[in-house]
Amino acid sequence: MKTILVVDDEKHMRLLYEEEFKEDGYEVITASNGREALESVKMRHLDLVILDLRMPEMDGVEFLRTVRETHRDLPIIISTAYGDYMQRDFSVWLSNGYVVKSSDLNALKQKVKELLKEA
Amino acid sequence: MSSNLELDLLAKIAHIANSPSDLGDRLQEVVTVLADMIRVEACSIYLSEGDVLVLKATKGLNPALVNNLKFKIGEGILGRTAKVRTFQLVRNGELGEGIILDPISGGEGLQAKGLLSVPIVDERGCCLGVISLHSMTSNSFLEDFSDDKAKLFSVIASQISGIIRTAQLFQDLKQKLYVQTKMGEVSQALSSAWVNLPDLLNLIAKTCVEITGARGCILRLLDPYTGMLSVKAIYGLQREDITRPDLKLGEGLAGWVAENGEPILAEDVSKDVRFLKTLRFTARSILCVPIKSRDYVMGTLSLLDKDPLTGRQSFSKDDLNLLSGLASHAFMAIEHARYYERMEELASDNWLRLKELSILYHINTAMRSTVKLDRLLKIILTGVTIGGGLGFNRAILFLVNETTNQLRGIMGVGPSNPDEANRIWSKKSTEQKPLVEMITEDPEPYEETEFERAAKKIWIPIHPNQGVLARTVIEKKAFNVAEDPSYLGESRGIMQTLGVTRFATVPLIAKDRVIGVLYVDNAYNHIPITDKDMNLLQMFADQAALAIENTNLYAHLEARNKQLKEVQDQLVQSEKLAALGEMAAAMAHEIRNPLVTLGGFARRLAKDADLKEQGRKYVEIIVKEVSRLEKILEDILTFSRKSELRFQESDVNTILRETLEVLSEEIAEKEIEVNKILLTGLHKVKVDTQQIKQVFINIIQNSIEAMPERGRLNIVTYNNRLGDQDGVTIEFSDTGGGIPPEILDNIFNPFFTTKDSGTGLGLAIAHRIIENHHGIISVKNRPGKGVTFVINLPVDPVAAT
Repeated sequence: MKTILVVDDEKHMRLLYEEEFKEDGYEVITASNGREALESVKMRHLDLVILDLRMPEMDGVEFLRTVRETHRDLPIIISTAYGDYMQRDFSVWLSNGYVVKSSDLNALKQKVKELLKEA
Repeated sequence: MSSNLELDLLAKIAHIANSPSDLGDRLQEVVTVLADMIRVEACSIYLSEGDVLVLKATKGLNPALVNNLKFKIGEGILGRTAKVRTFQLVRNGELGEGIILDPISGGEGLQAKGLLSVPIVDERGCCLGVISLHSMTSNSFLEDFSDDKAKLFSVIASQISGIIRTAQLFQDLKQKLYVQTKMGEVSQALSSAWVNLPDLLNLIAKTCVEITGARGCILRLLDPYTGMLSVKAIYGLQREDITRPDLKLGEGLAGWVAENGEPILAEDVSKDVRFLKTLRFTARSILCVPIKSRDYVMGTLSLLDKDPLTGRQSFSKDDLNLLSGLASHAFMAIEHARYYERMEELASDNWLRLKELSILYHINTAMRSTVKLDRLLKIILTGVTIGGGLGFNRAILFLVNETTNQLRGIMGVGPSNPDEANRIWSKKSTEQKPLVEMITEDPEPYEETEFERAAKKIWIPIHPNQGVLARTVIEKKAFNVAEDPSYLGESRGIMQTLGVTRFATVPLIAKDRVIGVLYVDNAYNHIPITDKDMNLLQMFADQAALAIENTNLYAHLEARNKQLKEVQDQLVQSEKLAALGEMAAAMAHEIRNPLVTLGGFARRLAKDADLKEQGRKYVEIIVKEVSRLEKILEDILTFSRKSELRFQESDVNTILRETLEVLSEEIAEKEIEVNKILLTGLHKVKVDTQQIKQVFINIIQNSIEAMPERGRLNIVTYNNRLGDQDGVTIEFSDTGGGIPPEILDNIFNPFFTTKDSGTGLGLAIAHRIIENHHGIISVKNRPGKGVTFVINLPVDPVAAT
């Protein structure tokens, strides 16, 4: 069983993702900001991260930069409400993909499948 | 003769001497008395005039001989008597030495028996004349001529001498009195307040003749410019008599007098080498005096031929003095008259100048009342043509069009035909408004005259062979075609179009550049255009040119301001929209999360098998509505994000090459070295070509500005990944020295600019465009060397959402 880390500051969002991916047969861990996410990464093996960008304490970009220093190959998908690249930053390249949040999670799920297959 | 007789004789003669009758009569009485009392056949008195004796009175000889019978002094008995001043006596036909001329016939030989010739001598010893008595028969008186008789005749002679002398003195006195009177008249005329020079000169000439008794007088004045001595007044002869009215200094008697400042008294001009025949008839004697002051000679006064009727042929010293006196009077008077004339001239000149300046001032005031070009042109042309202004009949204003190198008629003012002209002028002259008002008042809407319409149709290429108007521009000078017909050949076009042969053009020059031409003519009243008119016109044209230039500047300023304001408005608008868009976007993002969870859980609900028919329906509705909301959100974000983007698959390298083409001039100007390393096989990207081009333009321009001359610009393109898709990267590196960090942070901020020109926005716009393409733009500093802009573009920006 593959483990997915969901990072989002909104509780309901975390819940929704959790329910959906658990249903698909994944193990799901959550974190509410970048710092928590880093701790999770340190603590255990993860197969994939679904990452929101706008979060308090440590945002998605910072998490991304930090985690890449140690986990180069960890698949990370950015899932954000922001429809365009608001980051004036190369750092989003450090992710493996980008999905705009939608109530229809099919696109996200598809992406997850692709990345995990490769891995 | 008894002593009684002698006393009687003396008494009678004394009586005659004291009578008031005139000389001729008294002499006649004397000879009568002598002839009767001495009983001789003839008694005659001769008076000396010059070198001859002239019979003046006789008893016994033919009276017709009076004034006609003449003997030379020294010849014959009578002549000898006058010469040696002693008695001559012939008795019984005995002739003495020498030739004897018969006193009756004047021929040689003596017919008389006895002749007594007595000299009449005055108190100074001069011989005034001769008394002669002669008898045909024996005469006792003459036969027994003794000392007593001699004494008697001496006394008689001195009596007669007295008579003659007093008569002469009396005559002199009369003459002097006459001269004084005449001089008095002249003086009065000369000092009168009203001075008319020609009349004055004529008066002087007339007076000269009257006081000297000459035949004629010629007054010449020296012209200071030509150096010619020209006849200015004559009396006693006709204009046609003068064959040489102008003499050079030194030519002829008058010329000599003028040159040397000394008078000439020529008794016989044929003997004077300086004489030049200047008259149709021949003068015998001439008296010429200079009209001068101590410093210079103004002219000459010449008198011709003493009147033969008075019996004296040549001029005397007295005449010379008289004339010289009159000449100095004349000098003062002429000087005075000339000053007066000059004063009047200057005053009139001044007044004219004042009037001109006044006109210019008023027109200038009118010109300054507006900054609008068309109004100004109207004012200018009105000022030029209106009666109280420069007063030309018609005028056209041409302006130079630099792009087409043509001179175009912009506006004309003037009537189309003489009737119209008269109508307008008579109307205007009845209005008495001040000049400024008349020029600036708004005319009642009126029909353009044909002339004014035609003026606007005229256009002329500015080329030396295109006629006077073009030449006015090229040569920067004015032309007065009426005065110099040599220009006519070149001006045929204008002449035909406007129907004139005489006109003038002046260039309108502002800051040493010819901006136009002012054309004027007097087509209706045909008044010639003088040099003074041209001067005034040129002065006016200079003012007008400056005024026009001002309106141009003003218009430019206005336009520029308008432009700036528009851009500013646009900017503000677009920033507003952007801000609005950003706000909408921010809101949309806030809304999105809840929508996602809302929709997500609704969908989960829909998957629940336990849900009843109705429940399922309700849930499906919720899901649909959420989708709808998400779509709305998407639209909002699309709207705020994108603006008329048209994506098409493009080759970035091609766009780059096109960009460099557009900027080739700027690059060449600064001699920037451009190195391109463009990857062949570069991914095609879906972009709005125009916008991407704009981005490249803005970046490259920014670099060009930052670099000194001969800077270097490197452009590199290569394939890359952006997120999860392919993309391309374009790098621009310049040698502009780099950007300080505080500026670097704000480099894409539209409200932060270090430049005074508007190009500070360029990078901000570039940034927005790249954003819209879901790309990334950033800048790296290479301190001391330059900066590098890096642009990343996804192959498919739509998929990147």
